[in-house]
Amino acid sequence: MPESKRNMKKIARLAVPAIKKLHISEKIGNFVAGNPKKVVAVFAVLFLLTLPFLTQLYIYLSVYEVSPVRPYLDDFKHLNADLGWDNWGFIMCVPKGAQSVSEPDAVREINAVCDRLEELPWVESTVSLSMLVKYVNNMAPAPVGSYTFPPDNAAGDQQINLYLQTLFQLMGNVAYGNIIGRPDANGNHPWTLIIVMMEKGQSGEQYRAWQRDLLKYGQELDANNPYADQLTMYPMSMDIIYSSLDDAAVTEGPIWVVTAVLVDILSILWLFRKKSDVIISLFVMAIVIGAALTVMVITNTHFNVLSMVLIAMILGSGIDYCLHTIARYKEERALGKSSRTSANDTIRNSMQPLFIMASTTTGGFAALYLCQIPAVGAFGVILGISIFLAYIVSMIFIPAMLELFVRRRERIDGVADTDSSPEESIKIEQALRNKQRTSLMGRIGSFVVRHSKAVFAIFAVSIVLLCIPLVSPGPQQWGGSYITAYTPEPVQRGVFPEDTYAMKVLRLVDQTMGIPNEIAVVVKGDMTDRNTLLMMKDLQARLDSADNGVHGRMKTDSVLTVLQIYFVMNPQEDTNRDGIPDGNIRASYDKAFQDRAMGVMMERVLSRDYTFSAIRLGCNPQPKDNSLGSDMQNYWKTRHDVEAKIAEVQADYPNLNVKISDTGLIVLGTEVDDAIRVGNNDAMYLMFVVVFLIVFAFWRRVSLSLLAMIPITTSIIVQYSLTAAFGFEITYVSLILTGMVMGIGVDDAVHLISRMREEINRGKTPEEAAILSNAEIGRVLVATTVTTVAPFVPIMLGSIVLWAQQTAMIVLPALLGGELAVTVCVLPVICVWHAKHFPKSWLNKGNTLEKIAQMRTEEDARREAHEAGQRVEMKIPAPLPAKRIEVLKPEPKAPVFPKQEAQKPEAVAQESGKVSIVKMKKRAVLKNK
Amino acid sequence: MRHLAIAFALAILVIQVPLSGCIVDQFRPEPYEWRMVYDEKDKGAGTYTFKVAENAQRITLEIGATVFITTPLGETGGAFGISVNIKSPDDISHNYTFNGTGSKNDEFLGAAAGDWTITVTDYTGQNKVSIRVDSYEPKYSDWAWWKIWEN
Repeated sequence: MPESKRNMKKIARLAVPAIKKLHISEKIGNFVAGNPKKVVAVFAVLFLLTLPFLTQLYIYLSVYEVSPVRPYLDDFKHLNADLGWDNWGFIMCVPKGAQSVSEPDAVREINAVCDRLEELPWVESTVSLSMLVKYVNNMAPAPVGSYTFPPDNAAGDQQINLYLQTLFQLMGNVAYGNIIGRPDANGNHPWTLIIVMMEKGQSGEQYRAWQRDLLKYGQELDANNPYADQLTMYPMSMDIIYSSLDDAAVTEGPIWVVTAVLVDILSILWLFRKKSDVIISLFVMAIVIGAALTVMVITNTHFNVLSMVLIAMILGSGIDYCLHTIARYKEERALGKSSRTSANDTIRNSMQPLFIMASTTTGGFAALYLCQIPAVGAFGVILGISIFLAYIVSMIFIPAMLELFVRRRERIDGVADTDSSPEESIKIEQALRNKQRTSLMGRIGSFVVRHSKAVFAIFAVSIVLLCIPLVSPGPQQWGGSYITAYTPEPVQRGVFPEDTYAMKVLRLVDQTMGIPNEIAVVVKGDMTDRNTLLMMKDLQARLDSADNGVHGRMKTDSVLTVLQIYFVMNPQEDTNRDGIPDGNIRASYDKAFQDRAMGVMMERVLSRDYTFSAIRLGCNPQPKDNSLGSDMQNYWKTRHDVEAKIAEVQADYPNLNVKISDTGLIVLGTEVDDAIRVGNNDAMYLMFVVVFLIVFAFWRRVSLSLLAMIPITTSIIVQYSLTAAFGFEITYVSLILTGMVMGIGVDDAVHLISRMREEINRGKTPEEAAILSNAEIGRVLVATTVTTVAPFVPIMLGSIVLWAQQTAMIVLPALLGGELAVTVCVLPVICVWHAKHFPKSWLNKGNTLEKIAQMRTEEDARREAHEAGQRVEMKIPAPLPAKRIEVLKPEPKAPVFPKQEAQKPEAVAQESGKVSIVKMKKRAVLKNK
Repeated sequence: MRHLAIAFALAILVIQVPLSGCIVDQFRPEPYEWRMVYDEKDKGAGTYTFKVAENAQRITLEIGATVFITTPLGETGGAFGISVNIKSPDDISHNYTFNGTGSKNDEFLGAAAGDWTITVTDYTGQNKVSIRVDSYEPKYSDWAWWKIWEN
């Protein structure tokens, strides 16, 4: 063997035991139990440190935050920032008193509103029928022509009509596509659009604020202008649509959060019935939420409607760790241990199983990052971090706080808080276990273990039934463009809140002009090069020929289209009629940009440095019937058609130094669709593997790790089955659900199996271990799952955000049925079967079946002795107490202080249900005195 | 040590309290309301003024005209009844002409604070206008973020 290899082995031989000897949980346990004040102080300071960060949060969700981060996105952002969209507001105008939006007084109303809007300091210009009327007026040679609006009289009316006719002849297809709807059978135009252009180069948040102002001002100006009865105006934009989600975060979010807090409080009171436990748990949650929000501020993640779900979920899932820790501490105390020993043992015994739980949950949520959608990824990562923080804070802070509470109690009561003697402890434990066996969860455990075949049969049949919707039509996958994400029929696919102004306007737009879903072909290169323009002309012609009806093409717009209009006024610059300036192309661009109206049109298709241009194809690939999936197919088809033409042109112009790519809302829609596919398929499989590996890393038992995956698998089946059965589509919401089910679903199973393993290693039979595990932690499992799903109840019942409602409708059955019911009722049965057939898998390292058998014998002997003791004591007429395990009350029949109790059994009986170890000891001390 | 911790906590809270205004502003911004600043009925030719307060966001204008007699305009041959000109403190004018009885509304965004002038022109002495101006301005002159109960 080579020397290096030998050295490595040597190092490994030394290192592995050294690592194992670290005993982190013991060290932490000792430190926390010994220094509870310091621990509490540190967490209090950390909490205070987070407070100043919280004030920096603001509510904002933009389209870019829900767009997958892929190559197209840079082009999309570049396009929208440089050539307009980020800085555009739109006002949809439809006739009110007028018959047509092109009537003179209707155009006057547009002019009045645009004049006022242009008075706003942040509005650079407006593009509207009135602006184009002024533009045509300006085309007449001076002094007749000027950039003014015709007067309000009969002559002015004639001018307006004449200019509009000229305009339609000049601009034709472009004008119709952008500004005004095609005339109906009576020659009336049904709609027109005002484009409000704001200052470029501002932040998204600034545009959001301006767009909100535009909404307010636009509606007021519509009512308050000299021609107010002609048209009805609806300001709208992507920002206004998205701000409806911000509004939902403000109006609904607090209800979700308050519900989560209330359910947390109720769960803690139900489990422990102590106000101090509520205070401690809520403080833990405050620390965790403070830290989570601080992470959001530091990472520049905005607060949005998802963040509200995030807080509700931190409250719902994070509290689980508080409940587990408090329950364990109470149990240790109930076994007669002192506060310090209890704190120490709580940390030592719970650290590993809770670490597995926290790791799997964190891993499950963090896997959402794979979906490439920033808002969903940030949601997953921050939620994962928060869950892990909840684990750390619960594990360290809660035992310290509980110890401090007990010490305070000691000072008040004047009783020494010491460990019970080993004999007392054994008796107390026996009493406790007996009580647990007779508890509701213990009885459920006992029932399912006794009727294992029936339980398994019901489980198998249920799974088969649930698989039917999955294999028949299966749920439809849909990503789609966010702007068309509202379509109500026949599919409920609301990304945006129902019954809001934004939704009403979207529907109006859909009914009138159709949703303008654009695909933009971006050309990067020297746009002043004639060859580049010739290539673009060729490309545009090929793209137009690709209009196959699926795309529902409305317009094609490019620098060449704008130049066509420019040449009408400047025919000398294109004498050969090829659509490209004969002379200096840059000079023609400069001149066009200087023109007030032409400049606005140029800005939409060409950057000011002439290196970036776009051919904008206005399409509406959404079919009228809104049939499931077919719109998505059309999106893909449109994109593939365009990309095929780009590839053809690139092959035909190999020596041209330009880069051509496609982007826009249609590309965004397809990328979202693909991201959802990746997220729902790849990420889900990866999550399965990651969760399995985490569990396996700790247990080193393949079979046990697989057992822990059962509730996840069933809850995933429930999730997708119900998605298909309800007719919902798989969207990024499903992805959030999958992460949640994965992360939370495994927790209960890990906890149950860990506990069962612990019991088996203490010498219990598999059946007994299953019953006891269910009894010991069953209530906590119910409480933790209920706290997790509770925030979704108000969302399901009353949210106006449809996707949130759908999420809630799936979460509740998936986690309550697919996960909790399977963990509590089915998993014990499977575990018992497994432990009987593969007992070695359940042994801790160093333990053997012989040792277990010996322990079992001793345990039986102890129990017999205990039961015999009980039978003797049963002769004493003391009523059976015992309502709760966790109130630290030993049974009167399992006396800690037999002498005193034997003397006055009725005194103990009076205290039934409320006596704690400390109180009993206090009494004993007083009596001894 | 304990005193240091308390001092630290207080310092954090002192920083925190004023910063809370940012959160309050998001959920409950400063309250504004519409307030009538000018309301006169049946005014004939003349010049009138009204005042727009500091920090007013915008003003709305309602003009109702009663035209009994019109005068012909020489150049176009059109009829002229009564006209109202509104001039802002920064000398921007808006003109409203009525050739018959009727009403017109308008709204000025970002209305300049100060004295606005209304000039009514009527060549007949018979026609009248009623003018009402409302201003959208802060509800409280001394509002601060911590007075959220006033919102």
